[in-house]
Amino acid sequence: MKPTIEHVPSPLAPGDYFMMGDESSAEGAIAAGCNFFAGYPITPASELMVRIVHRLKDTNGTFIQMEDEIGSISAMIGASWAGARAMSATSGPGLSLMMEGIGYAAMTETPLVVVDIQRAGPSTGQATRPGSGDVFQVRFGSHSDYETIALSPWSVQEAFDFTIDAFNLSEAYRVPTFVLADESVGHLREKVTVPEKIERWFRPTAKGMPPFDTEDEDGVPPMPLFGQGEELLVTGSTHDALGFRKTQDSGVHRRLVGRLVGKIRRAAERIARHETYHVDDAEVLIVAYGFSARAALEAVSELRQTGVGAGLFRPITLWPFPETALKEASAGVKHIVVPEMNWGQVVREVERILHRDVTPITQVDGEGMRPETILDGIQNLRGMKL
Amino acid sequence: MSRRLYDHLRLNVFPTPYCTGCGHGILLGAVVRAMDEATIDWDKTLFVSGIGCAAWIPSPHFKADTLHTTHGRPIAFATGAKLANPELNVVVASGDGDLVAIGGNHLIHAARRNLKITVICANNNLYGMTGGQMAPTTPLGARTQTSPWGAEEAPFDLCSLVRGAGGRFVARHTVFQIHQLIKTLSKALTADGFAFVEVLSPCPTHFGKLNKVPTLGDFREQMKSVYIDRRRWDKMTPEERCDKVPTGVWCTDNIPLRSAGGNKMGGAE
Amino acid sequence: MKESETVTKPKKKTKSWNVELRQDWCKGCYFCIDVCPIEGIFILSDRISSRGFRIVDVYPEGCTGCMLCELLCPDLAITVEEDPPFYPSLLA
Repeated sequence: MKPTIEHVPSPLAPGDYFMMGDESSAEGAIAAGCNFFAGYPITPASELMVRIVHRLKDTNGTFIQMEDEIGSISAMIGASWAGARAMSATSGPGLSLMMEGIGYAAMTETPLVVVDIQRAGPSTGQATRPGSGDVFQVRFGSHSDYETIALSPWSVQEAFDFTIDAFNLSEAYRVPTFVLADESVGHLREKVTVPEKIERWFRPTAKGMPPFDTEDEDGVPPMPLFGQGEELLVTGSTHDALGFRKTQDSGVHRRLVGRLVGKIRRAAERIARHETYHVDDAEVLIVAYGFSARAALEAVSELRQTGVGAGLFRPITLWPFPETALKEASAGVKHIVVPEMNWGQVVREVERILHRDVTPITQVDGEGMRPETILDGIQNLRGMKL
Repeated sequence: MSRRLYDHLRLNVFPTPYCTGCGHGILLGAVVRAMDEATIDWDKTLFVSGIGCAAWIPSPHFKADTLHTTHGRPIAFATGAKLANPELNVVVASGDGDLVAIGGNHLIHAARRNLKITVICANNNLYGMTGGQMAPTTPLGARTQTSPWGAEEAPFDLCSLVRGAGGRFVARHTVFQIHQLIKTLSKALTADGFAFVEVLSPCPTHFGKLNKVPTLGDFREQMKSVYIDRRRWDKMTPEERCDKVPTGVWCTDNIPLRSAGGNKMGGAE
Repeated sequence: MKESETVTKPKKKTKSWNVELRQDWCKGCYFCIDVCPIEGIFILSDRISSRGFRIVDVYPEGCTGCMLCELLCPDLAITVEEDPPFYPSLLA
């Protein structure tokens, strides 16, 4: 079933603001109609939580600081089924704690948004410094098969916009959705333009209809709420259309997990988003996302000035990855490089999609991606003269 | 069960999945009767349960909204649901391992917050569903699969634990104190704040077999000498109290209920 | 009312109780036999139910309506109800 769409006046007065990425994401959440936040303090996401305490009071929403991230993801799921648009904000270590809950949300098709302001890891790592190490965690962090959606902002404006998009996508597809920023964007201060009207998508509802199966093409069943007399059976065990546990039935298991995965895979081309710069005549294609893409754009500009045909492919959704667009952009390109603030995560996807040699450029020193890193990496490519 | 109360049950999923003589079956009936006694609207009730045998008490047997969560987390899920919709009557029914071991943190915080939910802890003193392993409620010296020569750790006193965390309504009964249990459950369901009821609910299959109390009848005999109503226990000397556990209700509702930052705990201010 | 239609049940003060045990729900814990305060109401037979448990036969005469069996049956298999009350107006 399709979501219902409404346009509402922006809760924040329209205009230009100068904000930090964390704060901008909090405003985006409020704009999206977030009315439930359950979180735990963690650097570098605490500022988002502190901003949203005040904004939820302004908008009569509910805020609770839970005892840990496991409590947070659990409370979000309970709240979502009670009708709330629920969200949390965390970083790598907190996201690791949330994993079981994320799997539960995927299995029960519970809409919710988690903003991950990534920091240098693994483990406690460098809490105040950036990294892009959670790309696979937001997609494969929990056990077994499920799909999620993740958006990667490269600016404070996008932190605002993509948080709204994340709410809408999670409601439309009944799936946990992530805003995968990193500390460099989370703690960056930039201009944010707030529009007059905000588009909000609401989960499909239909009284008396089974909440966990559908014959609809899109594979998204309607979602009832607690307290409507529907006698809901929400469970993380394999279940049939009505929610009864069916832990010995192979047909039910195949159908359920197949639908959870299929509903996103079939819609992948519609959900996936990307942006390109100068790819039409590019000999070197840089595939970069998040803060690294800012350095990549600078690198493209410098390379072009020295006569090297460089281009940038920026995936906006990391999951689902914009595969078709990547294939198109890379046709005829001689070299592909993937700079990342990790030891190679998106590069593996690029290799898998394109079936060709791709050069990773890794910078894992707890600092934002530097254009020089990318330029040095490209310079070292065989046969390149700069 | 009386025919009138069958209306609240999904009869097609009976008989229950429980073993012969499982105390949770008795508790299931007690909860239904207590809901009836307290005239709670089933349509506005959400039962939240974790993982384990006790967590199957509400799901799928009760005709109400049920939320069967991850292990240890029903109270955290319940916190979200209650705060998002304070109109819901939220009842958590789960086991001792689920609520007190893996879920212990959520239990003490919900008590501290005075969250307006009812928590029913079915305590069989071990992890039943996985074969009978030791739990933080296993009595000292009791045999389980992971304490084959007798447990060497002292157990929690659940009522003291929750009281210490700030719980204003805590209670304990065995399933055999059935009349008091139903009355206490109905009081807990209508308490104006966090209410915790520990119910000693025997597991003849695992605990019973390993500790020589193989039937419900044996458990009743044994528990009669250990679990003493607090009206008697309160008058006992420390020597008399040794190895005995009081049952009853401890309610401190004369303390003003206040949660910092306003009324978002779904309870009285 | 004609003589032949006189009700044959004797007039009495105490209530009588009907005790029903659902054999398809019973799992053979026999706690009802333990808890019932009146001898002879629950009798363990040698017949086996379709679920593989020895069947408990129920003879409700003498039941006091204490409800302990209904309250304590772990399978909710027992229902104890008052027998339909005796209407004085039916007497000749």
